[in-house]
Amino acid sequence: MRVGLVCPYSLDVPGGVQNHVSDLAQVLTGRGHDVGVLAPGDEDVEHPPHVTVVGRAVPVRYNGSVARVAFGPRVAARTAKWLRDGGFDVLHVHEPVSPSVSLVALWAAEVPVVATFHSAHLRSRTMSSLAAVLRPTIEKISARIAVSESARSTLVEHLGGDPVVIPNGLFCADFSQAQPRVRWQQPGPTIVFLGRTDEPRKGLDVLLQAFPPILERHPTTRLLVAGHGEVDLSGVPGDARRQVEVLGQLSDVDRARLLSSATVYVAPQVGGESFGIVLVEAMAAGAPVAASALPAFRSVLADGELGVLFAAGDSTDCGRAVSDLLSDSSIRERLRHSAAAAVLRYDWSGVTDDIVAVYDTVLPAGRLWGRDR
Amino acid sequence: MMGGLPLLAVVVTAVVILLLVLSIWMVWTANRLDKLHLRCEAAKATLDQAAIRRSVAAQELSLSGVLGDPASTLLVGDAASAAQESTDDHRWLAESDLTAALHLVELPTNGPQAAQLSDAARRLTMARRIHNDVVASTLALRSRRRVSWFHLAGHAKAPSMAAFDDRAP
Repeated sequence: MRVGLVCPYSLDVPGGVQNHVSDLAQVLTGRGHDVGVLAPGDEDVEHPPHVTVVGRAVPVRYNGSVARVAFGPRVAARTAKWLRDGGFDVLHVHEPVSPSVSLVALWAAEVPVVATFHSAHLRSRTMSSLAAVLRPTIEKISARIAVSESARSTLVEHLGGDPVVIPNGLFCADFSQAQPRVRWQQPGPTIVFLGRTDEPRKGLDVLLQAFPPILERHPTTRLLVAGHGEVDLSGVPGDARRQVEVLGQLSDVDRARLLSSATVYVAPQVGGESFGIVLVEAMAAGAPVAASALPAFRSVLADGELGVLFAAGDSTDCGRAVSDLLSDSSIRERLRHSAAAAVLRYDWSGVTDDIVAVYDTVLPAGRLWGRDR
Repeated sequence: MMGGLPLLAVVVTAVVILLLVLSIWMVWTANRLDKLHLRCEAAKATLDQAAIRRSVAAQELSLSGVLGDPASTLLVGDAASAAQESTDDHRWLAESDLTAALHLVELPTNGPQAAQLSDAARRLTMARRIHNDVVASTLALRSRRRVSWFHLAGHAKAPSMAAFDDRAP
C-alpha cells in the first residue's frame, strides 16, 4: 500500500521521533510498501529519494524544549501538493499536536489518517483554550497510537477516547550483536551513563553524587559518561574523578558497543521521559539496568522485574542500587536473561506488524481485499 | 578667657545647624525614594496589564483562524496561554517566547484582530520602557551610600527591570 509518513521535526538533527520515522520508512519499504516521508529540513542537504522536505526548519520553544519545525501558508501549500502527488492510501502523522507539518498535513488530509503520539506532555491550558480550533482537525484522525502508557494517559486526559499502545521500534540485533570493547570493560566493573550531559533532567548529577559511595564498596569501578554536552566534574572528589571517563558523543555503532561493554547501565533521569528507548537499547545489548522509578521506566522494566529501580533524584538510593547490583553477579545474569527475551516486543519486526495492522483497520473495507500489494 | 564661651556656642550652633540640614536632607531623600517606589509599583501594574492585553489579543487572533494553517494557530495559541499562565520567575521568558512566536508566523496585515494585536504590542513596548525607566532611577538612588547607611529605603523591596523581547510583531 502507499503510506505517507509525516515527521514534525527536522530530519537534519537526531531525535527520538525522527529516528522512529526514518526506521519505520525503511522497514515498510523493505516489506514492499510504497513510502513517502514529509518533514521540515534543509533543502541543500542530501536526503533519500523518498523524503520530501518542506521549508526551512525554524527553532521554536514548544512544550518545554526547543523543536525545529516548519509552518506557515507556503508550508501548507507544499504539504497539500505532497498529499495530492503522493496518492496515499494511508497518511501516518507523528506528534500531530505540535506546531508543524504533521498538524498541517492532518488538516489537509482527505485519506484515512493514523497518528502516533510520542510525548507524555500536553499543556492543558493550550488544549482547553484552543479546543475550538484544533478539535475539528484532531477529529480527522481515524486511529491513534501512543508510544507508551504515559503518552497514552496524557492523550486520554486531554482528548478522551481509547488509543492503542505500540512502543517505539528498535533493531534489536544491532545491539545484541554489538561487540564489547576491552578498554570499556577492563580492569574492573564499568557503569555507563548515556544521554545529554548538560540537561539536568537527564540526571547525570545524581549519578556523579552517587559515585563516591559506590567506589567505597567497589574501588575499581569506572564510570563511563557518553553524550552531547559539557561535563561538570567539580562536585566529584579528586580520587573519584580519576575513575570517571568522559567519552563525548558516540556514533550509533559505538553506543551499542558501549552498552554491551557495561557491567551496569544506569538511567538516573529525574523526569520528563515518555518512553525510555535507551533502556530498551541497553537491555537488548545485554547490559543490566538500574533506573530511576519514573512511570515510563517502571513500565519498560516491568516494575523492577527486568531491571533495578531506585527513587528518582535520590543519589543515596541510586548508589545503593548500583552497588548491590555490582556485588551480585547472579542477579545481573538473571536480569540479562529476562531482559533479552522481553525486548523482542520492541523489535521492529513485531512493531511493524502492529502498525500495519492499524493501517489495515482504517482502510475502507474494500481496500483490504483490493489493495495492490 | 573671654572668648571661650562664645566659641563653644558657635561650635554647638554650627553642629546643630549641620545636623538639622543633614536630617532634612535625609528626610527629603527618603521621600524621593518613597515616591519612586510608588511610581515603580504603578508602572509594574500598567506593564502587567499591557502584557495581559497583548497575550489575550494574540490568543483571539489564533482562535479566529486567520493565521491560515493550524500549526501557526497552535504555536501562537500555546505561547499566548503560556504567557498568561507563567508566574514571576518565568514571566518575562514567556513574554519573549510569545514575541518570537508572533515574529515567526505570517500575521494578517488588516482585520480587527490584527489591529488589536499591533495596538496591544505597541502599548506593551511603551509600558516596558516607562517601567524600566523608573526602575533605573530608583535603583540608582538606592545604590547611594547614604541610603544604605541610614536605611532610608525602609522595608521596600528593590524593584527589578523587566527584561524581555518586545519587538513589534
